[in-house]
Amino acid sequence: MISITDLHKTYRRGDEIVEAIRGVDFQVNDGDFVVVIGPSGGGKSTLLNLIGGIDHPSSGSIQYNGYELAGASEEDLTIFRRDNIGFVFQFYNLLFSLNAVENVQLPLMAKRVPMKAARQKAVEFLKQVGLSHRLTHLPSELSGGEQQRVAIARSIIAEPKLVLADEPTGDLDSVATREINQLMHQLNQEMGITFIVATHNLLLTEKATRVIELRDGKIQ
Amino acid sequence: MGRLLEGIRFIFRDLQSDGWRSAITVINLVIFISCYFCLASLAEAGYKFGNQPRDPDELMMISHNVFDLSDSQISEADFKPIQELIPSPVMSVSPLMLKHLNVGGYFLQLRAAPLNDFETVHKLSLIEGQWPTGADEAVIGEGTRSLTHWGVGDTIRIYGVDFKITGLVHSTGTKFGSIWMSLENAEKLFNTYGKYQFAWIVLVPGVDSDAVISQLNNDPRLQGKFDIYYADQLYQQYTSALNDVRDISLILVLLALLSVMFGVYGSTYLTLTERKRELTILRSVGFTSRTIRVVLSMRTVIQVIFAYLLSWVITTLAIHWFESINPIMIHSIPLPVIISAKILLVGAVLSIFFAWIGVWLPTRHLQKSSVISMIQR
Repeated sequence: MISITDLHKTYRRGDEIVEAIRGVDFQVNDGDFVVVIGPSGGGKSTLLNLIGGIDHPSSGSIQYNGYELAGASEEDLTIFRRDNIGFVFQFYNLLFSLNAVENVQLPLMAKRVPMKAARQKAVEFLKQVGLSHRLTHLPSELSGGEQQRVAIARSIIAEPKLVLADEPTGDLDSVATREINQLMHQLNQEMGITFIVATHNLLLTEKATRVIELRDGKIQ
Repeated sequence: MGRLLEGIRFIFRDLQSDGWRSAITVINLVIFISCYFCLASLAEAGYKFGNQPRDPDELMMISHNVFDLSDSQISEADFKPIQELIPSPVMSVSPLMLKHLNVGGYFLQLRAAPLNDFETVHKLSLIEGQWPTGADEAVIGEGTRSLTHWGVGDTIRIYGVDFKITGLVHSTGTKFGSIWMSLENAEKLFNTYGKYQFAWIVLVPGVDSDAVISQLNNDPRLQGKFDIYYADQLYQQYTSALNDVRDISLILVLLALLSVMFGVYGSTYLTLTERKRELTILRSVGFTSRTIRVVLSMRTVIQVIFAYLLSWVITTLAIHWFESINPIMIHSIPLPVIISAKILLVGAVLSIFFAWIGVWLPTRHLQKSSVISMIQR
C-alpha cells in the first residue's frame, strides 16, 4: 500500500539545518495498524506529514499504491488527501463554529457529495463512534474524548484507505485514551482501514500489527 | 443548488461566530459604499443638469453680457429684427419674463409667458389639474413640486400676493423647476409692463440654426445690445462649474470603490493570518486552495451585499433628510439628487468586482503553499 524509500527531510531553523528524517525505508500493507513511537523531536510528526502530503520530502520516495507523492503539486496532493487519507490530530482540530455533524461533514463537502447524503452519513458515523447524543453540540460543549471521537468520525467519513493519527491521545486522560485506542482498532478491523499512529503512549502499541521506533529521524 | 445553499448557510454560521469582526468589516464597507452612493448620485444629478436634451429649433435673445438672466431687459420693439424673419427661418418670437424669487422659503424661478405659448412654444404638458385662467393662478413644474411638496389646490404667496396652484406641468430642460404664470399676471404683479428678460425664438424645423444665430448676432440693430443663444446654451455655460464638480466626484467615486477593494484586502489578509488554524484544517481534509478562495470570496460577497443594501437604505434616507432641510439648488432650479437604478446596478457590479479582487490578491499564494507552510507561516 505505502512504500517509503530513502526518505529525507531537512529544513532550516535560523542558521541551522535540521535533518528531521534521515533515510527512512519501510512499507505498510493494507489493513496494518502501525504505531510510530519515539521521543519528541524524533521525526514522528514530520514522517506523518510527509506520508499525508502535508509536507514535501527533501529527497526519497513515498508511493501510495504506485502513486508518487514526492514532486506532486499542492493541488494534486490536496485531492490525493481528500480521496485517500483521513487525519486525526492531537488537539482534534475541529472548527469551533460548526457542530459535530457539520464538522464530520467537511470531507464530504470537499468531495462535493450532496448535502443531504453527507449529513445522513455524518450522523451515521457519529453514531458509530458513540456520539449519537451529541450530534448538534459545538466543540466547546464536548469533552476532549468526545471531540477526538468527532475528529475520528471526520477522518473516516470519506472512507479513506489510510488514517494518519498524530498523537491522537496526547491530550486525553487514561480512560479516554483507552476508548480512543479501542475505537481505532475497531475501525481498523471492521472497516479494514489502515492506521499509522504517532504517539508517545506505549499503551497504543498493545494491539498494533507493527511498531516503528523513530529516533533522530531514523528507524531504530 | 442545495450545495450552494448549504455553503451559504455554513458561511453565515461562520460570520455569526466571528460576529464582532464581521460587524466591523460591514461597517467599514458601509462607509465606503455610502460615499460612493452620495458622490455618484451627485455626479449623475450634475451630469443630467448640465446635459439637458438640446433643441436646435429654440433660440433666445437676452441683453448683452448679463450674468444673471433676470437682469436682462428686452422690450417688444427689440423683437423687430427677429419678426422680420417670420415665417422662415423663424416660426415665432414671443416674450418670456424670468424672476428669481423667494417663495415660501424656497428660492425659485418664476417664468411668465403668454398663456397660449405654454404648450405651443414652451412645450409644457399638463399632468395634473388645469391651466391657469384667473388673475391669481399659476402652475408648477415637477421639479418644483419634488422640492417644495406643494400640490394642486395649494396657495402660495408670490411677491406679496396669494396665488393658487391650478396644475402640475411636465417639461424638458430646466423649465421643470419653475413656477409658471401668465405674462399678464406677471406684468401686473411686478408692475413692469412691456419689459421682458427673453425673446423666445422658435425656428422652422430643419433650418440652419447656426446661420440664424450668426445672422441675428450680426444685425446692427441687435449687435452690442443683445446676444442670441440656443435656448439651453446659457444653462450649459452656467453649469460648466458643475461639470468640474462632477468630474471630481467621479474620481472620488472610483476612490470609494477602490477603498472597498483595499478594505476587503485588509480583512481577508487578517482572516488568513488569524484563522490559519481553520484554513489548515480545511486544506488537510481535502479542500483545494481554489475551493477555499471560492468560500472566502462568497463570504466577502455576502458581507458586501449586506453592506451594499444597508448603505443604500442609509444613503437614501440621508439624501431625503438633507433635501428636506437644505435642498441643493442651481440658479434657483432644484438639483434632484437620487440614487438611480443605474447607480445601484453599476455600484453593485463594481463593488462585488473590487471586493473579489480584494480577496484574490491576498489568497493568490494559497495555490502554491503547502499545508505545513501555512502552519509555519
